[in-house]
Amino acid sequence: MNRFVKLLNFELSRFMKIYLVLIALTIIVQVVGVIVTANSYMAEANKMIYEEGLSQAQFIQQYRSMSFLRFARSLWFMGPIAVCAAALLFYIFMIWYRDWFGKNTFIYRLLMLPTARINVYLAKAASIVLMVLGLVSVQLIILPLENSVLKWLVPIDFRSDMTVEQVVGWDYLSILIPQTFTEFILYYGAGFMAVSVLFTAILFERSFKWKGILLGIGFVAISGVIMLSPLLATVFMDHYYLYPLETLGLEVVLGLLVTAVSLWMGHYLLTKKITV
Amino acid sequence: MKRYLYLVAVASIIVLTFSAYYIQQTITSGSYPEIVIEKVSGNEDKVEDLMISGSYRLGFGMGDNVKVDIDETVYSSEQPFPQRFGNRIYGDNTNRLQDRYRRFMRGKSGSVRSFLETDNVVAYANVIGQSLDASNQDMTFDMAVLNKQTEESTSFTVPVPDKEAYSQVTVEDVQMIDNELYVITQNIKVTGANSKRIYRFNFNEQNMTGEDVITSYEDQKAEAVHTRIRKMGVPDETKAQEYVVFFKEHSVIGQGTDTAREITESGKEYIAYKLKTNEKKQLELPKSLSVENMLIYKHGKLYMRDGHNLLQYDITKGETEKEMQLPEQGSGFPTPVAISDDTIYVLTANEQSNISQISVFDLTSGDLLYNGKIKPEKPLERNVTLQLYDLSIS
Repeated sequence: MNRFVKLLNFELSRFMKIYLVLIALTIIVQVVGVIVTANSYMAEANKMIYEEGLSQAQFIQQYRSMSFLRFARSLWFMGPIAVCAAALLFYIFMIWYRDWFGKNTFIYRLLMLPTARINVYLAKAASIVLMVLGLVSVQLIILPLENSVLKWLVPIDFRSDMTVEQVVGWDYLSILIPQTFTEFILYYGAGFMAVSVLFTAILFERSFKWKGILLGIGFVAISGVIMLSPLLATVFMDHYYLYPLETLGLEVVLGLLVTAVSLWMGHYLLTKKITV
Repeated sequence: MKRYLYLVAVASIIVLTFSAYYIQQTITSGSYPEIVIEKVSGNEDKVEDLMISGSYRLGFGMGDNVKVDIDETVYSSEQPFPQRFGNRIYGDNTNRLQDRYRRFMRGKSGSVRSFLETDNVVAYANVIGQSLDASNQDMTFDMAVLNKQTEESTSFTVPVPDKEAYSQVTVEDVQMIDNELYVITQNIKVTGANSKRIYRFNFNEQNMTGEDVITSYEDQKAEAVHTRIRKMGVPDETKAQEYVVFFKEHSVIGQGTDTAREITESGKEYIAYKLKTNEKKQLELPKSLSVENMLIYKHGKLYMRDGHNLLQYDITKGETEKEMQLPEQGSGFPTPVAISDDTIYVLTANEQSNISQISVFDLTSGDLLYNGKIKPEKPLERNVTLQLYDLSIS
């Protein structure tokens, strides 16, 4: 356990520089975005009202009042989130491959550590999960700030105010910041399953090279089919014999199964098959 | 401790932020307002079992569904996840059947109109084997009947007669008369012509005993004809009814250019089909009324809205027997309605003010038993609309 915690801390420290850059990028771009969006809206309002002669009510009717969602749907808000997501997705692969770079491959030292090799795997997986949660936390912290900036820049008459809960209830944000504990476990559990499947595919490649790529892709495909099997059943069968909650229960069981197999497979590859 | 600096930092921020957010969420009463039913006049007991469903829209495609009754307002996002997930797909009546007859209802698709519940049986009829690819269809009636006393069920399938001619067959109602199953369907031919038909089945023999056309637009030759045949709604699709009421309307669009098309001919009919005798009766209803004015049908009586009047029309007698006065303020459609035994509940909405009126009438005397306002406790923000679209009695 001690080793696991040390490895986890180590993995976090390796990525910390880029991580802090991502956080800074998100904060800066989003705050600038709020200011730009609010100001351009007010500039439009001023132009329409003072130059074109629209009344305030007419302007609001035609151009709709300013709300936080107008900003949340813009590239200013979604762009940094997309960049962070892409970076972390990329790092799911790089967190392994960086250990094979250079002359004194680091993986050699990692695998020689006096610890169960599964700890290396789990530390990497846990660090990815923690980094995602960390970025989501940062977003959760700056949301009320951005909301306040908006309220400060746009007069009350032109605003439709939203609370943070309402903003968070929208679209993909409601998946990243789930409204209930059950959903939190379901969504982030599914995320952990996906990470473990990808990790095992990577280990296939690292163990068997070209054959390994095929094995890895095959592993991902089979996992996908297993998880989608209830849906595939509805396509091929006349009657679907499960109620919705039962299907959810089945998916949870399948998910746990896929995760367990991935972890076991990853452990097996790390201990028996990996080539350095 | 310094050795674990990064881990501790990241973990603390995550734990602190999420706990703060979730704690704050449970403390504040939520961002959605309470909706109250305020009495204007009458006996408040009458709305004790009333449940109103609505949708609260924030604009921008955001919002939530809400259920209001005399005691509380429940938004669907406030419900625990398993409950929300389980109840989302099927309506209340189907959920009720699934709870009570879990094994029988398993694997049965189709809408609530595919089911019938009487004192003795639960019956089911659906058309399966349909797909978007018309050449790949094998339309079949999928039937099942559950005997409530013996808890035994029989199921069987019967191919749809003339199935190659149709692109879609949908079950609109299931009834039972003298141990025969009557299934009313909407059949749409590959040519586009639609008809309402009735198929009779003997479930002891497990075969089809008859087919009839109730009404159709199958003879239409002109291409620019828009036709619509709609079955009138009833309070509970799973209960037995004596008649099935249809509207039928068509309009012929003249040649003209794209921007100058006009309706050269149109017509509408109201047909009451009596299941037991296979009789069709044309209903003489006021010409000024159209499909949107027809509210609900129950036990031989049709309820319609004509401006600020609620009309009760008796199908057997063929005349309007009662007129009840609705509030002046409510203007728009739709007009949600619910009937229980001898009372009718009508919701009239005033879209401008987000306030609705509920009127409760006694069906024997036509008297107004209760009149109330339904409105949010605090005025709503700009851009927010509250639309109440359904009434039900629990």
